[in-house]
Amino acid sequence: MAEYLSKAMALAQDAAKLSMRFSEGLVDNALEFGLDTPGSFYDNAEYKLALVRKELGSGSDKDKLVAMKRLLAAVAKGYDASEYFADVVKNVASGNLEVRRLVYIYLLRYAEQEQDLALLSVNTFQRDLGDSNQVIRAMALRVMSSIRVPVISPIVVLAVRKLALDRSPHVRKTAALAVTKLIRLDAGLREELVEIVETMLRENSPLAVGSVIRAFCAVCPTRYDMVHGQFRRWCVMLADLDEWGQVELVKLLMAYARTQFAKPVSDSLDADHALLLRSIQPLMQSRNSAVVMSAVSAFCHLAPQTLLPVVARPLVRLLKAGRESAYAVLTNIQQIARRSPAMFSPYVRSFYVAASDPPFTRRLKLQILAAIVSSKTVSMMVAEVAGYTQSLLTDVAVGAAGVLLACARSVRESVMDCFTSLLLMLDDARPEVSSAAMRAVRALLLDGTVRDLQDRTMTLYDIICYLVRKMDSDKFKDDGARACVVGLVCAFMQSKFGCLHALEVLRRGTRSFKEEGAQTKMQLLELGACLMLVHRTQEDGPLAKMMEEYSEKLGDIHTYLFTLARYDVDFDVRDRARMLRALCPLPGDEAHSEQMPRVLEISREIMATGIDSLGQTSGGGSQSSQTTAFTIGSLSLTVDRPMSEYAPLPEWPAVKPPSVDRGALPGTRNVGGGGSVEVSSVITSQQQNYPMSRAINIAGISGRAQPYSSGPEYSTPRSAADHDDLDAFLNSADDSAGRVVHQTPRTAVVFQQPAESSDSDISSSEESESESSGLESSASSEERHSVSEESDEDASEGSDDERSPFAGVRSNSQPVLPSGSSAGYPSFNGRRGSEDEQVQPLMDGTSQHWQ
Amino acid sequence: ENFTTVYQLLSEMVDSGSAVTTDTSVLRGLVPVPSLVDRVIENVSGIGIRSEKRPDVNTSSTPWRSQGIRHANNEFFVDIVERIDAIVGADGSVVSYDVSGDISCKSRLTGMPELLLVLNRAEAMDDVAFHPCVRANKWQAERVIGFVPPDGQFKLASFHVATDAAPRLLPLHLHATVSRQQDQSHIIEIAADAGQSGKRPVEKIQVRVPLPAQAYNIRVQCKAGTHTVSNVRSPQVEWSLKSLGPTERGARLTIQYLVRASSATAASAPQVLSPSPGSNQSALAAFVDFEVAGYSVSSIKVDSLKMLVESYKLFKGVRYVTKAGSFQLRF
Repeated sequence: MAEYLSKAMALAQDAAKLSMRFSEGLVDNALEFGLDTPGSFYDNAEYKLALVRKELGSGSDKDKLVAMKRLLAAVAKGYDASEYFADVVKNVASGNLEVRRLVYIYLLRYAEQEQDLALLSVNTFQRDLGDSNQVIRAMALRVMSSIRVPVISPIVVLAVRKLALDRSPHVRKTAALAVTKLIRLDAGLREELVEIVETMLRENSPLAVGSVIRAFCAVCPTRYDMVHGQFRRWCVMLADLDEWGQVELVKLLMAYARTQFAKPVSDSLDADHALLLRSIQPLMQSRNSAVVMSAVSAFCHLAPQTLLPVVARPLVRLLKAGRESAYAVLTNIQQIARRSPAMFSPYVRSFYVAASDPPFTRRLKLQILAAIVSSKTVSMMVAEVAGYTQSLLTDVAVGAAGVLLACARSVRESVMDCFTSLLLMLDDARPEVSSAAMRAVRALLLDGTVRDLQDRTMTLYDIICYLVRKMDSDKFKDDGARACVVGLVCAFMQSKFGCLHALEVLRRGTRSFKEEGAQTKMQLLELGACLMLVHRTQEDGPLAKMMEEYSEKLGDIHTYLFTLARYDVDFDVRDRARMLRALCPLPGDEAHSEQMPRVLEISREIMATGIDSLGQTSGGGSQSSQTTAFTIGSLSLTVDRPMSEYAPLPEWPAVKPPSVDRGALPGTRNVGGGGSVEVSSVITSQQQNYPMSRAINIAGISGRAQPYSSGPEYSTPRSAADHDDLDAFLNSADDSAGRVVHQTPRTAVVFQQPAESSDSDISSSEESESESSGLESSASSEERHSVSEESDEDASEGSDDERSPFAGVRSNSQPVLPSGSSAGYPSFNGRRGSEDEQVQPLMDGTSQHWQ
Repeated sequence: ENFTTVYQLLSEMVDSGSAVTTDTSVLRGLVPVPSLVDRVIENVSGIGIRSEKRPDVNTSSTPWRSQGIRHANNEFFVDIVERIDAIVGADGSVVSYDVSGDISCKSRLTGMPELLLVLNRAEAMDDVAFHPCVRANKWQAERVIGFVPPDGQFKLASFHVATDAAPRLLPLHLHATVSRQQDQSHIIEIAADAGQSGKRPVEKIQVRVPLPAQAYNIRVQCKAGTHTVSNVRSPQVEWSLKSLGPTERGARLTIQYLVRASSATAASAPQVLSPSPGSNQSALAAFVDFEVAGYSVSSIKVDSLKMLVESYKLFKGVRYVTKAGSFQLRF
């Protein structure tokens, strides 16, 4: 028994020993194994660089691989590993492909520094160019062309010339890419390369076409004569290219179409133009956002207005592709929506602000919402946006004010809802929000959108009353907003009530003058001056009697106010006081009586501009000040400034280009140059004539060609009017500032005597768009107003001192707008020069009235 | 790890600053894929087997599928994953609602098969994006997805469902009440009830409530599931619920927290416009995540999957999942 036990013991001990040894061995193995994991190369590469030289010199591929990994890890971490260049170059001909790849990566990194040594490797590349494996050939060419050493460029050109005719499309693709690199390295090679590219253009494999196009664009992007023969073939091939090739080809064909086809103005479209659009449309179903974007861009710039709506759905889909691409897509949508807002109205909900949206997305979404409002969606939108006004995110609430303003302006039915929401917003504790709401309220009051409502719920003066009472509220502290209220009071003081309000506001404002902000102070000064003017000029008007009553008090307040302002801390306020005082002298001042009428007129204008400048100052964030129209889908559009390689699309040709032979469609006879045919007949005839075999019928499998029978339905453009829009739209794409600027029609009301109506011509002298419509004013004054619309933009920063006092004409009476005017906030882009010219004659014509 | 492979991939994908190819099957041919098995064999035998395999590139007209693929078991799996993007108001009303989905496939098929996938409600998809292997004109004409599949996993199509006419089905009904007691104490109550989910339980429910940065003394109660309070940059409450059956009673979550008094001054500071929701006094919204297996909210189903060209037996599998995409509950 004991024997048995001891035996068992021994056995157990042996087992334990064995297991211990075994596990030790495992640990050893693991250690050894662990050392070889690439992670460790990366982590401690720089400490072991000393070993590299020896390892590279050894005969074992494994050692070399290890050494190369170490080197690359060191390079990746920012160490300068150029001292090993010579040792590395020796291995460029290594039999092990992985070693060789790594050597290439290293080589490309340091070839520019070590040009002489790099040349040593060229021989190996040249030998590889003849390798039987297509990947090796391609790789050798790729690396050789990437070495940025000008000396070898003739050799590379030779290699490219040879491999451009290679039987493998993969190699031909690499050769085409090499062309782009060569032209960047040495522009002197252009002629030689153009020749090579010309042979390449015959490329048939969809794999390589994309790169060939890229080479073409790099070498000779405007040689459209070389494109003619390939055009139809490429259109049909477009669907089969790899994704990045599609992007390149669409870009090229876009530029080609803009130069070779007539602008789509009438019912007819060039047959090839239609073919192009039809080939591009399926790309909108690509999974690659870049492809979708380029197709959208092509449609925006090439298609007639009637076909444009197809881009909306794919664009909305791209919104889900992630935060950053959502931003890029939104900037594009915004640009497109500005021209044709209607097509996005089914997708209004996609532009609702979600809690997870970053601020840049929120801003764009709100701007788009403001742009695409339509009568169908407005009720939904107003309900949603009314929720935003209480949003805890200040920028959302501020943006909501802009959307409400846009809603009220474009859809009459919604005015009441919007206006009520805006009035409620005034109570918001945040100064940004209340002042944004105030600006919107002011805009709605001034442009007359709200005036139609007064008979229903509240009159204009109820609203003014309400606003004035707000001034007493503790919450309503924002300077800009308060200034807006004073400005409004000033603008609506024509009637008796208005005048009383004005007097009261002036009295209170004077009392609290020192607590107000600079803008409010200036507005108060203007209000004071305005009242004074009314007092002095209205000898027999309905207000005269009333003014008589308050005359003395008004004089006192006026003097007091201007004395206060004279010693104000803010120099803008002092300046304004000085100027107004010169125009509207205090009792003690020297009066220029003979020039009084003219002075009065000028001062009225100043009042008007003073009002307009308000609201601008505290950042009109609800409208963007985008001025230039970049190509849809371009990077420049996304970042809103021209990038270095940005080339605007060419304009449509002025005259219809001659038709040329655009090659044959694959598998069909060539029918010659495309004539101009009815769009609908184009489609049908094309379907009959060219059974296009889309190579998507996978060659060698199904083996049968599929007729391209399912072309998208093109509706014939309805009328020429549609195309007029398109003209404007397309022209504006390349037109700088002028057209695309938010044009803000502002109303200038000019006082005129009926007898002098012949003089009214001058009101329409400078700009043809201004029309003197001679609306009857409902205001109490008997003058007849002729209303002219001018689209000037205010340049307004903080104070108006530097701006021309003639910058705009507006009467103090209730402004009369031509109906349907959709003015935005006056935007920032000043074009001051033209304003001066324009307004001057008005002055001369109108001043007589005051004499 | 594998940084050299990444290097090699990048050098193939991008050439002098422009994208060349991003197709995975092409890249797989160009750059050997490292695998643990390879590495073990290398370490044991001392010789790399990778060096013997010559890279090659498929230049046929189907670059996504190379010739001569063989599998012992021929299988094809289709996953239809639908995501509901919705914004739900505090009262449970649906503010915006959007269903989109993906058809992902896993293919292990021999040779060069051509497949035809027929869906029952293809017309409900109003916007479809396809993998390049899909024949676009076949879809245009017959609303049938015909394709030669790449080998392995791939995303065949992604689609958007026309939801304007369809009823807005939510697998999970949510309500929230936010109240403010005394001065600085806030209470958020969230109720989750089972909705329309085809009689299947809603699983993996996660409700994430980011709280303002000034919140402290956070107390959370929930009747079901578990909750965690994290405080990395700003405090956040996460409530997770394994499953909620269609007949089960709804679950409730109550969060109570105080806001530091200093927040009032912070709010009036000029950086109120700063983007982070943390700069506000109260929480904005809850982000909800859930999953319903075996349920397709748009009721798009696979009608049939036919194989042309090749003639072997094929094992087919279809799975449906409905998930929450960007699903938010506004307060």
